[in-house]
Amino acid sequence: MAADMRAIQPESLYKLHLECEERPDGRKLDAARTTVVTRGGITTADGSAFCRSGHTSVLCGIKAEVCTPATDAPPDRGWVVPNLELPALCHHRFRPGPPSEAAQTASAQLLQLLDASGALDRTQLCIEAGQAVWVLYCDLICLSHDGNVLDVALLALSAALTDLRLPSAEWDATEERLRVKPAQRTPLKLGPLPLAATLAVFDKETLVLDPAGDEEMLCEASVTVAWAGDSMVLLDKTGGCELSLEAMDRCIALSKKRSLELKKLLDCCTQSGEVEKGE
Amino acid sequence: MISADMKSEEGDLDEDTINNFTCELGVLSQCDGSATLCNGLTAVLVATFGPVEVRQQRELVDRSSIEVTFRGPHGVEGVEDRRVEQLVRSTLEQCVFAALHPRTAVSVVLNVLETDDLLLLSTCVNAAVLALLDSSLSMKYLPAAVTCVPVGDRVLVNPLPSERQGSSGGSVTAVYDTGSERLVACRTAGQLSAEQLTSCLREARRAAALVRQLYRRAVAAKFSKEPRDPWAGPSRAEDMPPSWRRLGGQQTGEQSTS
Repeated sequence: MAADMRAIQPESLYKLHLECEERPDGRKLDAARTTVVTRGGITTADGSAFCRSGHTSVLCGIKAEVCTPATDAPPDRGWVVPNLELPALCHHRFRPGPPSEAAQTASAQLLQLLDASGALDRTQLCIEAGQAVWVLYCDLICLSHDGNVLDVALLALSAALTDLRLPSAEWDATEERLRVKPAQRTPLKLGPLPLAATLAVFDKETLVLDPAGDEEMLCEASVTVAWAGDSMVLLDKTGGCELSLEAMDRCIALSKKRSLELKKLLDCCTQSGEVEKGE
Repeated sequence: MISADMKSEEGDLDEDTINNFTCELGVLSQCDGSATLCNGLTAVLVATFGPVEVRQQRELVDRSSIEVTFRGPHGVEGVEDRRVEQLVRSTLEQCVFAALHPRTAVSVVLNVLETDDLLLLSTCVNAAVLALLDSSLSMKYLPAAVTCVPVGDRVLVNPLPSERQGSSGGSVTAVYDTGSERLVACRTAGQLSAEQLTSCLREARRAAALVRQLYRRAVAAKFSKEPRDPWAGPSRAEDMPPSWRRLGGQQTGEQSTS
């Protein structure tokens, strides 16, 4: 009977679940899915990470290239270009073709999060002011979309930045060329990395952390809050039903708690090596 | 030209919290609704068409499909423009009575004439609502957007660049339903603490009521019998953003028909 109801009246079935304070996959309302972070999977990239939360998985690879800074840009800063791709293979609603609006807005959000958190000081990416700077192309590909891609993509990006090792490069002033030593690599000095938590809103008051794919489709609104250390670097409630300020306060508290869990996971991953699994 | 001097309407808000808004409805003759809104150094021109025929892939059987196009002041289109479109579209989808016009589209085109980046989002939302008011499309409620910047202990509402000295770079753009005073949409930029966010949201809720008065005065002016010149601009040249001055500032010779 539940299977019939899921096909015909999914909202009503889900509301019944919410009344029992449990979700279809057995989680409590404020519980996130099991998150796994793996770093260094792509040996040809300068930094990489794979992050999976439930069935949502995102792979991030960073390639560093050398570029001359633009004439109207500061001469001593490199830049970062994050790009999230939602290809047709991750979910049936995405078709092959130009990037969808969801992919474009997510890419813009990732860049805003990196800038606002101050995690990466762009002057570190300068090799020789005015002549050569590093450009970090961060390519994120969603391999499986089961809801809440932004949080997973941001975690993959943060983990890949900790995995990034830049080759040592020197500007030879006499010959006016760059000398790169690919074998000698150094990590970046990173500030507090941004980590996000998304909550779905039902019935204007009920908040559900880390929505899965079907919950994301059914929800009336969703709120994404990102933290870097103790500062909030993004709060995005884009349309949807109205929310009271009390519900917004609860969103902030729940997201702060989740971001601390993610931070612990990321720290363990950075210290221990490769695979880290957390709740 | 409607200029809402917010300071004289609400006695309990500080003198320097609200800027002068300047807006005009019905500036373009070939579209169903249009509006220009100038807020500080940010000016946005919006045209709306609708309900019109919709492309088959965007057709919704039970309601109208809202399409928002954003054109920034300069440069090629980028992913940042999609974020502005997403916020405006999701706000309008909630407030427009889309169920009255199934299998149609309402197209809203935002053109930025001048911007200082901070007030862009809130000006776009308010200008879109004014354009929809001009086109007489049915709406369930009127959303009003306000940008707040915390500076020290205070919260500045819609500040000019000169007033923003001393801020840490964080800002909150909040869209409120002016009837029920509940939060419809919200987006932050820069770093904020949770307390700063909460005080910004509370200030924005109070300021949204003033934006609602602006809407009323704009619509009242549209239907008043006094002759209007859409390109006359604000009374003082210093109040105009630079692109506004370039548009004319003189009588065009033909009155706009509303």
